[in-house]
Amino acid sequence: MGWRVNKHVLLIDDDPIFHVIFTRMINKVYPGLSVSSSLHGKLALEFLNRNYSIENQYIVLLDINMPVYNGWQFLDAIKKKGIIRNNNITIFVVTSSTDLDDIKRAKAYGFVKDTLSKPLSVNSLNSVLQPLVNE
Amino acid sequence: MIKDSLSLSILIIEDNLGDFVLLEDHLLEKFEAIRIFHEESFESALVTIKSDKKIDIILLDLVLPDLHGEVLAEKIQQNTSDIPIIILTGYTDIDLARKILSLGVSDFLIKDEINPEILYKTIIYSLERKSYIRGLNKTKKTYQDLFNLSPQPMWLYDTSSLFFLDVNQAAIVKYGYTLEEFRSMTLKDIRPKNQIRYLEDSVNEHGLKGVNGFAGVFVHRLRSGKNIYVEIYSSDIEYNDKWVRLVLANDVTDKLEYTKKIEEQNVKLKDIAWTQSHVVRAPLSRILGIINLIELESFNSEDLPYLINQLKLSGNEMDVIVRNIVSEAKLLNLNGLESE
Repeated sequence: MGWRVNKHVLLIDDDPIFHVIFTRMINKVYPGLSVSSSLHGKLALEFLNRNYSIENQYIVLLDINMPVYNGWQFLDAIKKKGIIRNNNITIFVVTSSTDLDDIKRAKAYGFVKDTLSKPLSVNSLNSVLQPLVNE
Repeated sequence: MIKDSLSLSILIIEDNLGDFVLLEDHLLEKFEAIRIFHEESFESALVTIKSDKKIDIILLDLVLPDLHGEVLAEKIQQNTSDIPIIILTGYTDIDLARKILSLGVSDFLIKDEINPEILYKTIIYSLERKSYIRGLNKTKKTYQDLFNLSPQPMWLYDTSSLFFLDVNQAAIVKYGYTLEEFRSMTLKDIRPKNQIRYLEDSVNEHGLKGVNGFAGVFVHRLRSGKNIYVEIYSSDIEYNDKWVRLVLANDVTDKLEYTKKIEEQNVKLKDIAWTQSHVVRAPLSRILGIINLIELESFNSEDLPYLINQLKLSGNEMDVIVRNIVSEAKLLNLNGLESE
């Protein structure tokens, strides 16, 4: 594949079925991407603390309703971290909620690239990942 | 000549028969439907006035055998509430007649000048004037009734001493104090102790600005000790040559109670909407996600039994959620009925 930077997808969702679904889909469409998954926001932050590298490109698919650290708490926490300013973490809020308030609230975080509605079809996954993968 | 068809009962109090006959002639010349009663003394006139003859107008000679002058006019007047009285007098008594006029007698006529025209006009004018005054009194009473009989509690208070000046029937019923009790009370006496500072601030503020209209929602204390919420409307009015404030109090305790109930129901409805948005869509989006994956994978994938089992679990989960929503909505209906 020969990408200069290491591209990494991080799934944050409390539903393990989605881990299965997303991981399979991504592996199928972009076999070169490495995919990790966390069951809630706190685990995801810990993952980033351990594995973050400025050399890498991170694509975060973030659910909102989760136990321990929900999506908002994750966004608030990462906002405080300096790494968000390195511009190598792209966050998509992916939720089954159709609540307009949730969508507005997500967009209020400047660094949230977009909000996507579950389930993600191959097409919508493509439209999100393609530009990032081909950079 | 056209005669007036007005039906009138006229009492002529006149001891001089000649004068009476003349007056009778004049009257009959102008009115075709009148009844004329004749009395020659104060005492006998009084009997007729108090009888059921329904006298519409009185022609009164100022000199009668048993009474005369000012006293006579006064006594007749005291015994007739609003019957117009026309004094009949001679030239010599004009000053007296004028004086009597100021007591409220309708008009006076100089005997020597009376002719049918003048008599007719005087009678008609006197009747008109009386009915106008009657109308004015009625209007005054209507306005008093608007205050006294209003279904909304109202009162007048002195803005400097805060004493109640007048209180209407609805306020007496609502607050449980008699009118006399109210008159010895100030606004502070219908406030809970902790609200008195608030009252003083509000009175001062409105006094300075002279604000009319809606003043706010306040807590008032009834004689029974129960607190109620009232919307207060006030405006400054002139009362017995003094500027005072008129207050209308609208008990909104029940309204606020209903609003609270509606708000509680809204919270429940929001909960249901939230559930719809988040909880129902979670398994649904999982089902759709699995289907996407199956499409991508091909149907002979070794994971197919696993994925189908997940579909079944998600379907069951959704079933439970939808049942819960239905029973929650039913609960909401029951609560609504109980409060009615």
